[in-house]
Amino acid sequence: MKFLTDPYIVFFIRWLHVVSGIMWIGLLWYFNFVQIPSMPKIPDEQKPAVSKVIAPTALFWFRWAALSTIVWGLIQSWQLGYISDALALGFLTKSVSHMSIGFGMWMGLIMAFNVWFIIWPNQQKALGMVQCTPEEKAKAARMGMLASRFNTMLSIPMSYAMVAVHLR
Amino acid sequence: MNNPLQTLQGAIILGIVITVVVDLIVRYTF
Repeated sequence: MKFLTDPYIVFFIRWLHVVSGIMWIGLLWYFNFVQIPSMPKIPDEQKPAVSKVIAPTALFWFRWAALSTIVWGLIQSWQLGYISDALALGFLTKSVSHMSIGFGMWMGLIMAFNVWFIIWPNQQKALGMVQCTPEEKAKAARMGMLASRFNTMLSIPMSYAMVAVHLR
Repeated sequence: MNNPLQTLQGAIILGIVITVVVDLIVRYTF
């Protein structure tokens, strides 16, 4: 167990957390800032290039990067000894930095839950990866889009709270 | 009032508002 708290291992796990987070939030912002606003401007016959090829690949990396970010982040907070205090928003030790990162952790956990249990099942219907009626498909596309936009909204305070541990 | 998630701009503005609220909570709770 000692090697888990070795300074290099602590750094390396933090790096895995950060690179996974870059891929996750990078793809989230790609969907919200690029793909969703561009779809209405693409001619119908060209839309399958996005919905059948690009979006499923982007979603694959998106949801696994979300899981990877959460797993490395939880391991990091455990190895540094503040996982329970951060999840308790710093109230166990009255720690400002644990409260800050705790807000970020809870927002990240809500976002990852959203990715796997709301966005992904709805996108499978919307992209035709799961059979459903046209009405269900339209409803799923809207629900997936709103959940994705909700995550974009949360990504702003989440990233701020994550790196704002200097607040004291 | 309209749902801020109707537009990307609304979602970003709400995200910034939540950020300011979280910052103030963190600064002044303890």
